[in-house]
Amino acid sequence: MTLLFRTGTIAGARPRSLDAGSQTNASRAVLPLAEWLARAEDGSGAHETTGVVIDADTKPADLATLSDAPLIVVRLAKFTDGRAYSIARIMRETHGYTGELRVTGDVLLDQIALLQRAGFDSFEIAHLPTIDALARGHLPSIASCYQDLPHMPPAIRPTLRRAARSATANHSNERRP
Amino acid sequence: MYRYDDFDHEFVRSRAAQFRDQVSRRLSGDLTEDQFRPLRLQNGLYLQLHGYMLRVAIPYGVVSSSQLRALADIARRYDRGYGHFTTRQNIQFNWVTLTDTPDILDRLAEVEMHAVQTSGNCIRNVTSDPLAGVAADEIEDPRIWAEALRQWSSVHPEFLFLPRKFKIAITGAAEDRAAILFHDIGLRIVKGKGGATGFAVYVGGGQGRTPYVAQLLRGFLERRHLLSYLEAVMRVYNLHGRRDNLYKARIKILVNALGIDEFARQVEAEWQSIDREALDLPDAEVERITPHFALPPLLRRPATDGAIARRRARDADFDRFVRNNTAPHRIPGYRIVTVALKTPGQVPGDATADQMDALADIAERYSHAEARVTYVQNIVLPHVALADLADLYDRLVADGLASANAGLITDIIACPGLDYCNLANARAIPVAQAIARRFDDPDRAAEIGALRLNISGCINACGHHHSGNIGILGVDKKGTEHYQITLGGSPGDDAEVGTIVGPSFAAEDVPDAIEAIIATYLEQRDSAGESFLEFYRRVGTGPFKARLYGSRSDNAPTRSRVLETTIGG
Repeated sequence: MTLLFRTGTIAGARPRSLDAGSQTNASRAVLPLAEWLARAEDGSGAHETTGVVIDADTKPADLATLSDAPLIVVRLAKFTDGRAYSIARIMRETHGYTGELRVTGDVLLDQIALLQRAGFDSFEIAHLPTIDALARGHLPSIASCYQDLPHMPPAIRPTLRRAARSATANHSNERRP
Repeated sequence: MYRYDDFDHEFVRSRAAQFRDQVSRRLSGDLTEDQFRPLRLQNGLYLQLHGYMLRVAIPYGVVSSSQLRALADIARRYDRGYGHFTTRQNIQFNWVTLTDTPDILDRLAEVEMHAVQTSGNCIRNVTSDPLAGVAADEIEDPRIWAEALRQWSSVHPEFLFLPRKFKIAITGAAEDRAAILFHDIGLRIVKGKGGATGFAVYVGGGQGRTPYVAQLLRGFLERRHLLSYLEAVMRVYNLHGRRDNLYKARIKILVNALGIDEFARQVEAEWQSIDREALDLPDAEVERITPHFALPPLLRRPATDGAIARRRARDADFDRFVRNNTAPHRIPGYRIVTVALKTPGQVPGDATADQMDALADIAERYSHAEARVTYVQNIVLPHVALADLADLYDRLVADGLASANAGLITDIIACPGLDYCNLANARAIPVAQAIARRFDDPDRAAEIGALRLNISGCINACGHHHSGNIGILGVDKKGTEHYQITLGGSPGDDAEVGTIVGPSFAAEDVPDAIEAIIATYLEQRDSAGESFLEFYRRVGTGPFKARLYGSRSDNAPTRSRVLETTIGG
């Protein structure tokens, strides 16, 4: 059994919802990177309705080409592979990606809040204790953070918050389909 | 010093509560040890030879009297009545339990302390010059930026699962007292064109099994861009650092594989692509932090003191203490005092709960309730009036803290070694104790002069043996503890990795070997003004090899031959 856990919009304004039992591929077709790139080049526009799944070692140059995908799934082979966090921030902040950014693989309870802050907004979870905890509404995180990142902003000291930052975040929301 | 506001308090309380929950899920079995390990390491909790060790951060080395008392309290309640100051401005408690740890973190939070990221593959406790804000040779106080980095790096979501640990040090003085060139990132505050200050950024330094001196990544970085630039460095490392081999995962390996120019190009490209404006520290936050590091109100005191001068003239021990353990303060009439936790025979860097309480009282009485911890495992009292030196000294004598050997051969850095650590090949503490006893004649130590002697119990080099003028490395040789000696390392502005002098020695022979090295130096130096390091740089390993190994330096000598050559010769 896997659980698809979503956290609402990338700005985190809406309450979290729990879609128990839904499957990754049930919602949308997802292709490996090479196939998705081939479809992007065939001129049909089909890539704009097809998700893409990538590994944590995907080259930054390839990331730049993924912004049209409605769904990007990052496979996390091991929860200690921190590259997924950089990929999420590059997609959201550098490439302005506003589609669904999902993480799958070794996704564990204690990393979800961190992945969220990096920019992920859905989580495919196979780890049973994590599924149980989320079902109980238990999502551990710390309430206050020192980094004013645009996604799921937690409580932050006012002098650490940038007016420019919230303008950027609003802009991203407007572009969201 | 920096004081928490409500936001900082909420952060550390929340972090402690989070760890309490994680511990309970570990105990219930919801988390396996593999899943729990990075979580506990990011909260400073190691599993060592005899049990858990908790490493508590003393950010950039600044500690108050009330914090010292809390550390003493923790040592008594949760440990065996002592703690160990480390080489990275942390304190370790070696005998804590897993279930007590959340309570300890709560206790630390009460006094504005934490153990956040003192371990794990993340950005560790940011270290700095222990004389920051008071040193006469300072360009600008680095603690403002050290505090900004502490906050920025704390639970930064992108950089908690790096390929390997990541250490940052920052100095704002002419003389580097933070060994910044042996850090993953070293920052030096420099004056740019027109007099504005900024940072020289060094990258890829480190000790361990592949020691490197850091290379210059950027000669001048505007102050306001510090955080965005470090984000770019961290991101390049996070994406491209090796994750397939633990021993090749540090940033120094990436920098050397790419070459500094290519690494710099990648950082620059990343930096250009990110939203600097959004990531840099807002001016309002710089302005909020800065006043925390203002000098305490120091009353005007005379720049010379007749009573102190007379005491020095009649009391050789006091005179030695003033000469070795005090330094000029920015403000005339004040001195910076080093309390060396290096009484010959003691464990380097260890302090008992009673000593921590005594230091708290002494700091309160003589140093505006503030102390610093140094990477050479000593304590500094930053604001002592010259006129108070004699009273302070007498108090230190009474508490067994008056060791007058700061910067000398017995001021040894040593890691915990095989007495505590499951990585170690050999014990470090008994070797340090034996050497300190051998050289405990203060006149002889004075004759030898400035000397950095560092001991590590294994190749991970926590005892900084690579950067010791004399370095000692514990190795396993056919199941017995042996010690390899390196010469010529230096942690400062002229940073250098030491050179192995020859085959290793058995533990009991190490003091004799050090004796032979020192005798070589004393007999052959130009003058008393030529330091050990200067001498070594002039002559190289040759004379030392000849003394240690005789004419057969090409062959590994037997232990008895070494003894005959050195002691008999």
